[in-house]
Amino acid sequence: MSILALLLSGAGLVAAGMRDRASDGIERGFRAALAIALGTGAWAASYAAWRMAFGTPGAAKDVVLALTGAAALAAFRRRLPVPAQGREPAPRWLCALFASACAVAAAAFVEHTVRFPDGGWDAWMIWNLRARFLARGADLHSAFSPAMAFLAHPDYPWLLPGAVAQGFSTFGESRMVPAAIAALFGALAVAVVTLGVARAHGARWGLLGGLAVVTLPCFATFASNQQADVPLAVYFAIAAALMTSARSRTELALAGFSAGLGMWTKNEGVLYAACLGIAWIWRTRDLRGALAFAAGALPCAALLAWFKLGLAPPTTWRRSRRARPSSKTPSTGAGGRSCWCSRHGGSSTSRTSASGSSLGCSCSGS
Amino acid sequence: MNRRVTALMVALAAIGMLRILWLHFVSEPRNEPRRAPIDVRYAALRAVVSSGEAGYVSDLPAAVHSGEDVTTLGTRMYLHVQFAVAPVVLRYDDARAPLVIVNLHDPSRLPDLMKQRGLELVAQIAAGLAVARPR
Repeated sequence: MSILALLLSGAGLVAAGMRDRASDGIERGFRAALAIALGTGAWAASYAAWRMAFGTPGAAKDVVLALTGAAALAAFRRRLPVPAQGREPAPRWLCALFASACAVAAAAFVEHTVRFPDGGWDAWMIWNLRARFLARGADLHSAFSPAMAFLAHPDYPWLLPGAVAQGFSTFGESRMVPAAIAALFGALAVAVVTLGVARAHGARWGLLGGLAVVTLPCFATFASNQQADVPLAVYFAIAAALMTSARSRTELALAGFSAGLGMWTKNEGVLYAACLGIAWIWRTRDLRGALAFAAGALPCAALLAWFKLGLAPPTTWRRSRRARPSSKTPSTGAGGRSCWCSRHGGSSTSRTSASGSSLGCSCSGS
Repeated sequence: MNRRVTALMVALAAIGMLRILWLHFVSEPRNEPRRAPIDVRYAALRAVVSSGEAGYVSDLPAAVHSGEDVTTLGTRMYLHVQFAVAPVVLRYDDARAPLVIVNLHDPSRLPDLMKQRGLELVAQIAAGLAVARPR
C-alpha cells in the first residue's frame, strides 16, 4: 500500500502540474523520475503532517494519499500532446561511457555501503537516529527532545527520517532500508539531471550533464553515506528543470512543490527555494509566475513552520549560546580533563577518519 | 565549439571515474578498516533501557556544545549509544537519572568510575558497557 500511495501520489502530482501529454521517451522518463521523487517526498511529508496532527499513521494515511493521487490522475487525464522537438541524438560511444560511469558509481556505492554499514556520520547521527525514534516510539516529543545531543540536531526537518521510518514500519528495521532509499535518491539525482537536460537540449547534452553528476568523485560517497544533501539536490534539480522550461503556471507550481520538499529535507532548502524564486523574478519579471511557484511551495512551507513553531527545540546555535558560559570544560568524570586538554593541544582529524587511538592513550590519567 | 566542450567534459568524466575507482577499490580497502555495525556492541542495552530518559557517563568527554571538537572518540561513543537505544533520550553526564548507561573506552576503570559517581551496577552488557543506578 505504501508503494502504491507513493507512486499514485507522484503520478497525480505530475499529471496535475504538467497538463500536456509526453511526446517521446525522454519526456516520459523525465516525468517518471519526477513522479517517483515527488511521490516519495509527498509520502514522507504526509507522514509528518499526519503524525503531528493525529499520531502514528496506520494504513489510512496511505489510502488517502493513494486515492488523492488516483483522483488527480483521473481529473487531468485528457491532455494534448506536447509538440515534439528536434533534438540532437547522442553518439553510441557517449551512451556506453555514461553506462560505464553509472556502473562505476553503483559499484562504489555498494563498496562504501559494505564498508560503512550504518552510513556516514550524518546518517546515523541525525537522519536514521530520528527515523528510529519515529519508528520505535509513540511519543513524538521524545524524537525532538531538547535534552538530546546537539549533534543529533533535533530541530532539523524530517523528510528523510520520515521516509526511512515508514520503510522500517513496512519492511522491518533493517540497515537495507536507509541504504535502499539512499540508492533511490542517488539514481534519481542522475536521472533528473540527465533527462532534464536532454528534454531541453537533446540526448547528447543530457548524457554529458548526467556524466558531470555521476562522475563527481564525492557523489557515490555522499549517496552511500545516506546524506540528505542528495535528496535536497534532487528536489532542487527538479525545481530548476521545471522552471527553466515551464510552459504554464501549473508547471511553476509543481516546481514550487519540489522546492518545498527541499525545504522539508534540510534547513538550507529554504534558502535555495528563496534563491529560485528571486532568480525567477529577476529573469522574467513575472510576478504571477513567482506567486504560482510560492503557492506550490506553500504546503511544505506550512509543514515546516508547523514543526519549527510547534515541536522543534531551539536550533543548535541558539541552544549552544544559552548553555555555553557555564561549560568550557565538560565534567565527565575521571579522565575527562586530560582528554579535553589533549584534544585541544592535538591535531584535529577529519570526520570520517577520526580515530580514538591518539585520544585513548592520552586519557589514561585523570 | 560543441566538440571541444564534449571532449573537455568527457576528459573530466574519465578523471572522475578513475578517482572513484582509486578511492573505493584501492585506497579505502588498504587504509580504512571495515566498520562493525553500531548495534553489534550496543543493541543489548535496549533490553534493559527501553523507554524514557537515561543518564550517560563515560571516561571520555563528548562534544556537547557547538564549537567543541566533534571528531573525538568520546563523542562518537556517546552518539553510538544514543543511536542504539532510541527512543530513549540520553542525558549526557547525568549520573542521577534512574538508569545510567556507563560506556568506557578503558573497561578496567569501571569500578573506579562507579564509585566516583555514586553508582551501583544493574547489568553488565559488554566489556566497558554497563547499566547502573544511583546508590
